Amino acid sequence: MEHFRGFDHVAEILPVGILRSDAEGRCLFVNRPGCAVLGVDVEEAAGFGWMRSLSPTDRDETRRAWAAATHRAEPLDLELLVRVPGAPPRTVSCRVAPVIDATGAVTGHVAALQDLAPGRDGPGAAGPAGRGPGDAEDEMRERMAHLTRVSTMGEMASSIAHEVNQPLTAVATYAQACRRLIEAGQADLSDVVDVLTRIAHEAVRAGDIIHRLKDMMRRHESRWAECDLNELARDVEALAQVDARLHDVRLVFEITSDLPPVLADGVQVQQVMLNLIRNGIDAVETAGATSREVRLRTGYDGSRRLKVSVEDGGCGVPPEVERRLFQPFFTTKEGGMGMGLSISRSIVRAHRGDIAFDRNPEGGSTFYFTLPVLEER
Amino acid sequence: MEGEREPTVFIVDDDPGVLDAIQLLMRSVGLLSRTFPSATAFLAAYEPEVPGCLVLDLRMPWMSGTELQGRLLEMGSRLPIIFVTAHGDIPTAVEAVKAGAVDFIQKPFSDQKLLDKVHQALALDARGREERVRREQERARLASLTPREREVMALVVEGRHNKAIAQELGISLRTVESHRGRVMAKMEAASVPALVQAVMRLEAEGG
Repeated sequence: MEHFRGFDHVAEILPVGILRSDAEGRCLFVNRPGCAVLGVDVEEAAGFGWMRSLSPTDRDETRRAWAAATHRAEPLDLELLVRVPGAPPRTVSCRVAPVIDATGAVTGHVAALQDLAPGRDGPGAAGPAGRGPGDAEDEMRERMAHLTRVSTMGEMASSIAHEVNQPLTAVATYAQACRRLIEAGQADLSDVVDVLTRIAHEAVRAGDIIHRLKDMMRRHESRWAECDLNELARDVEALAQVDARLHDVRLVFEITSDLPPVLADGVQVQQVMLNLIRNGIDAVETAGATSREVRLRTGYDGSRRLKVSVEDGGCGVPPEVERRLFQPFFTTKEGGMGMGLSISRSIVRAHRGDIAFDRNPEGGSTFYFTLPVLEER
Repeated sequence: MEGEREPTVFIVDDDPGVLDAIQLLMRSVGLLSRTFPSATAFLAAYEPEVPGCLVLDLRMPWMSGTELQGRLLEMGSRLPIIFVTAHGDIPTAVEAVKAGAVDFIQKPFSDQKLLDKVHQALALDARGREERVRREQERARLASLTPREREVMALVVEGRHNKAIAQELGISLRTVESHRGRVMAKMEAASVPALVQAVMRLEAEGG
């Protein structure tokens, strides 16, 4: 379960209780807020130890519910009564999602645990006082979005290293060649100035890649602004081309010019674009070399909505995984976290848009999302 | 004569900065070079008779460096290849060298290292071309012999004396001597050992 290492790491810094179990409900990992909510120590929680503060009947019932959830491969909502000596009993909400592998088998569960004790706000109200519920929701989504962005950038690390290496190679070679020309007395001042200009250009190019990387890695205040979808796409292109080149995939951007603005959190919309492109590249990679092309288009979906679609000539979506495609922790990729499409959907929905996919008649798929046009006031 | 054409360093890389910088490096040491942004662009312009070597990026869209190497091998090209690779591509680069590439070099590289490899590759190409020219000349010389001269040559190479050859072929000693003189002249062999060597080379090459 190599790829859960990243997940556990991420879960450790979330403010909600997170527990990961095997298919029967044995605890494999629980974060600190999870321990606090359950009234157990990390060491005690292993196996079925995480249930030790529940009443014996609750324990049996929880195990039965867990087994049923495994059997049906469906999410589960439980309320647990936690009793810790010297404290009043409290109710804990436990939302359980199955972890499903590519063959459709349930290999375990991930549970979110939250104290429903009186005096505290309901679930999700993690924002500071004085802010509306929308802000708190925005903040949670940005937190999750940021974590998946960081994880995506981690997966892209080798592509990015390769891409930064190119301008570095050019800089080093220009400098060495220039030194040789000067030493041989073959260069006049204007030649040297010319080479220095090219060196500077390459250095700026390396810097650009790093800046884009930093932009994606940075956690930002969820920021809604009037955005030009085309501009967002163009910014994403630089980073996405890096990945495409590394996988020998041709990435084409087809921009419909002069689109009206949308109200959006730009970085998050870019994250959705990048997710879809990377999925497209993976699909092409999996399919082998039939058509090594991924095409992003911007345009209209009717008159009031804009549409971004990403078409690939890849392996397509098998019917058996279609239903679970947008579920969290569902992945068909080796080492994948299974968060890409799920976070994409939550971002698009928060923007009052839709995300879905079509099967291309000539093979491969087209994933697309829509966003409403910003109404003129 | 093809040997008189100036050797060219062909550079193929999809990164315009890297392409341009390598070309400048070649210019700085007085080497002629030509640049190509893709493997297909190179193939379209490829002329086997131009001597030189190929500095080839391993990883490119459309056609990778190793695919180009495969195409060139299929075409019977002997152009020596130096692969330029990124850090993670070492296993592929090693495979490429096994398939006949001169060497590979990692980006970013030291100028001296690349230039050493380029000079080595150019020397290899020049030797190969000389060798092919020599072989063609020897074949042409062989083809200029009459059937009788060939017979005489075969027996000379076996180490027979003129008398034995005359007996074997049922011709006069004087005729053997004149055939033998023409064989040595046509094959441009200064001595019998030189003739033996030339014939052995031709046999080894299946000529």
